[in-house]
Amino acid sequence: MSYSSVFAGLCLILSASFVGLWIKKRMFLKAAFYEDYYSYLLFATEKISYERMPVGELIAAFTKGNQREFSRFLKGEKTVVPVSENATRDICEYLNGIGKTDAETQIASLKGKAAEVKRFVETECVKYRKDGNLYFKLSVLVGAVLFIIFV
Amino acid sequence: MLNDILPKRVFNLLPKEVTEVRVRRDKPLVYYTTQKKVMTECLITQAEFDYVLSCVTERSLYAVTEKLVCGFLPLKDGLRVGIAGEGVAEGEKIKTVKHITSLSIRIPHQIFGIANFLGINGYFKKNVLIVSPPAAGKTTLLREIARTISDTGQTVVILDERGEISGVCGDSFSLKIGKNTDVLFGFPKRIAYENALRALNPDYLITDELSGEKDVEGVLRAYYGGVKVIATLHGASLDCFHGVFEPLKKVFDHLILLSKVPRVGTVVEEVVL
Repeated sequence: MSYSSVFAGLCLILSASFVGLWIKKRMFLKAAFYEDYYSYLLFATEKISYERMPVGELIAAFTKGNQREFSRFLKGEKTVVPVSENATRDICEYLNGIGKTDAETQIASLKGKAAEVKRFVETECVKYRKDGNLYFKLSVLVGAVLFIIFV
Repeated sequence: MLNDILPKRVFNLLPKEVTEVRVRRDKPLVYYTTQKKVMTECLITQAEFDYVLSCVTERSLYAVTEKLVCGFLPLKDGLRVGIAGEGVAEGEKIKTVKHITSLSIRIPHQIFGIANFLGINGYFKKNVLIVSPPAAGKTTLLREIARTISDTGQTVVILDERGEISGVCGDSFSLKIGKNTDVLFGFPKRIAYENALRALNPDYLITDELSGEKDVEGVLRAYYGGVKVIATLHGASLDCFHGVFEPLKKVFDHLILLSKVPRVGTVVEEVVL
């Protein structure tokens, strides 16, 4: 076994690991995006209930010092939204609808949405994280197998 | 501020000295200056009206519902938006306003020196009532009187329910109201009188647009408590102490009647008792 083939094999393992890492990062981002969405809904419910805080101030207060994907998405900044186009459209539609009703209706709507997102976070986001870790391990494994087969 | 709430096309039509802008759904734009009313041919579209409405409500209807019910929205820099639409009633109470069709945006003005004719100095001790029809410059004169008295060192408390006198914006004021002035903003009048007299120890109490029994009661309390009052009242003549306002006859010893003809803020009659 020559040094060059060992080097090529190691490169193969590394490349596969990077692919796995990228997939894992994306899955974790997706989970964090939904978790932040849920946090925002809770934050909005609280601030509207007690302070009747307008939408602009809500966004400013929630995103202050926070550079995570959901905060950037909320501010309308260019961001890599890690969720599907349909899901993004649904979230946009819901967020754009905030502020178009009286406080009572708004709070009820936010609570309902938060409960829905909470269920999603508790089931799907745990799965995203688990899958992310699994994909990473699989990629490393695939790299190792390819190393054995070809080198 | 006005450019933040009006579409660019509409804003560009307005002169600098504009005092009021009327925006109505599917109707032409109307605006007022201190000297005239101008009916333009600029039709306000549905989309433009909705844009203005969403700006004045900060895209948060829930945050302004209580104010909508009172018929106006106070904005930054002392701007006030009057609202016309359909009231949604729940029993005897109006819950909210829907199908909003008109917005009347009032822009406050500060004209220094317009209260000089009163000869205000450190010894000025009078209860002044300013009477005029709407939009004749009552609030502008009231603000200048408040500022002048305050700057002589006397403690002035402004009961500024709608933020129009002080131009309150968060915890600062966009209009000059004097060095020795305290402002109660957003308080219903009944509570404002009580808080001012109990907690702020004023020499002068300033209040805009006396409108009912609660105001009369508050002004009398201040008067009997030895606090001077400067107030405004809607009216066309100085013979205005009728009905609910009758008890105020003994309170005010300096009456001023304003007119918007030939121009806003014209003093047409002044009575010193």
